[in-house]
Amino acid sequence: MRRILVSALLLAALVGLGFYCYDAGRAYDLLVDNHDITLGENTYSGERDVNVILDANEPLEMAPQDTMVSTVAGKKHTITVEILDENYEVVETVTGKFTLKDPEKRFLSIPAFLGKNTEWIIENPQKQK
Amino acid sequence: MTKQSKFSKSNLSHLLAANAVPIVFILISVIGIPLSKFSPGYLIQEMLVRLSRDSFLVLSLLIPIMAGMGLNFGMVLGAMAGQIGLIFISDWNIVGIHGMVLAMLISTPLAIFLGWMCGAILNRAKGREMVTGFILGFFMNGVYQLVVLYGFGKVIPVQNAKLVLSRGFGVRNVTNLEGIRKCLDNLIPFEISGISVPLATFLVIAAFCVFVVWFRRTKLGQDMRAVGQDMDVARSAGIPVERTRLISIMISTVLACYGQIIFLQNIGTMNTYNSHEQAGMFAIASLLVGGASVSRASILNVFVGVVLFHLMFVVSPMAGKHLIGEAQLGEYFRVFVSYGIIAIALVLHAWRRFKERERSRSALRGEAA
Repeated sequence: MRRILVSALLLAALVGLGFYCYDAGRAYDLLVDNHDITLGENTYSGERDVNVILDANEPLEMAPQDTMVSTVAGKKHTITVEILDENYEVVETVTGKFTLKDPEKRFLSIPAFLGKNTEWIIENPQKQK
Repeated sequence: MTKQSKFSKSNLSHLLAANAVPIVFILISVIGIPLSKFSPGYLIQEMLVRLSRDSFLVLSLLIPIMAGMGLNFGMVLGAMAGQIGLIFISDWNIVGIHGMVLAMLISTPLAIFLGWMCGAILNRAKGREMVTGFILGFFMNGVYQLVVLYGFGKVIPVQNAKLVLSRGFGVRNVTNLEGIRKCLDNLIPFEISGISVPLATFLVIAAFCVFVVWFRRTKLGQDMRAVGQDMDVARSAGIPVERTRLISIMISTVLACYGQIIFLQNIGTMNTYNSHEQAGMFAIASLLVGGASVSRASILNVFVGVVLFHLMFVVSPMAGKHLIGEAQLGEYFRVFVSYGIIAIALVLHAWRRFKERERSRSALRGEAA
């Protein structure tokens, strides 16, 4: 009886580890967007050069009105946005954390993030059209 | 005095005969390294990478040798199971170390089943385990190809369109493992004088070596050694011979499955229909090059074998190019050697057994005189 219990617990632990690996290791392609965007009544301008760093990935060097793709693993992430001046020097750094909950929402609007809009992760507007 | 010199001469010839294969390889390397004109730094880096890539696979061969089942040619079954796990994680897009662990978890039950099947068959072919395992590998290769070529996309759903052939089912010839490439090797970044050391992989290999040493001292390990020495005596002593042999093959198959995953995470790409075939052949050749035989192998043989075998792999094309102006000749040479060495080692094993029998007979005669 004890042996069966130990085997069952071990099996459950392995299955649990499998689910954890699936959840934490799943890669998602995110669209990182620096276009002007209107969310509700607010409009956010994407007229600044920025460097976007997702987790420990290579920085995405984004020009105004630019869109790039970045791949991240797992659901919980950190984002660091460096705002650059005309000489491409960093003038401000904004960091934040986010969780990918909705499988449809994979579009990160950087102007909305910098404008501190809580709904900066949205469904791809092109897909909606 | 004469008797002593005769004794030492026979000892020396015995030592040379016992280590003939590594000695030949050391000689080839000694000649080949200067000819290849590779820098020592490059060679050290290459050897470290190849040691981390192959050692686990080669170590998986030790346990069946301990149980007297010879070289486990059936290890390709474990490699196939590992590849199935890798196909799944590529489809689900699981990356990094999580992907590698998940591939291992998925493939473990499959490897256990294949190991059990292989062990059960080998129990019915006592004394002919190696050739049976070899042919079983061919048979299971057909089953694997059927599953991968027709099952994936038709029976087993595949979400990733990049993974399947344009007709809608069957996995492509090459599976991209970019998501898990070097995830274990680079887990603990470590560098000494510009040479990067895959420390995490070496820690896993070290843990495996500790496991092998510990396993030899367990009841099951002792049983395996007893079965390996004499099955009839072991049976008389109450050891369940068939079960012990079955377990040894199952352990070897599961470990070969993990070894193949470690191997492929280093490469970063998988030849869907051929990678497992190469794994078996090269692992066995490496072990034999290290001085192991069909009935005796140690952890030292594994590391010596991997280094010598791969040293020749790296050196021979360039040595061929500088010596004759044809890199192709070196390439041909290394393929020829990888297969030839298995044949040589088996012939040497038979010859060594014959010599040992002769030695023991002459010793007996000596004692009688």
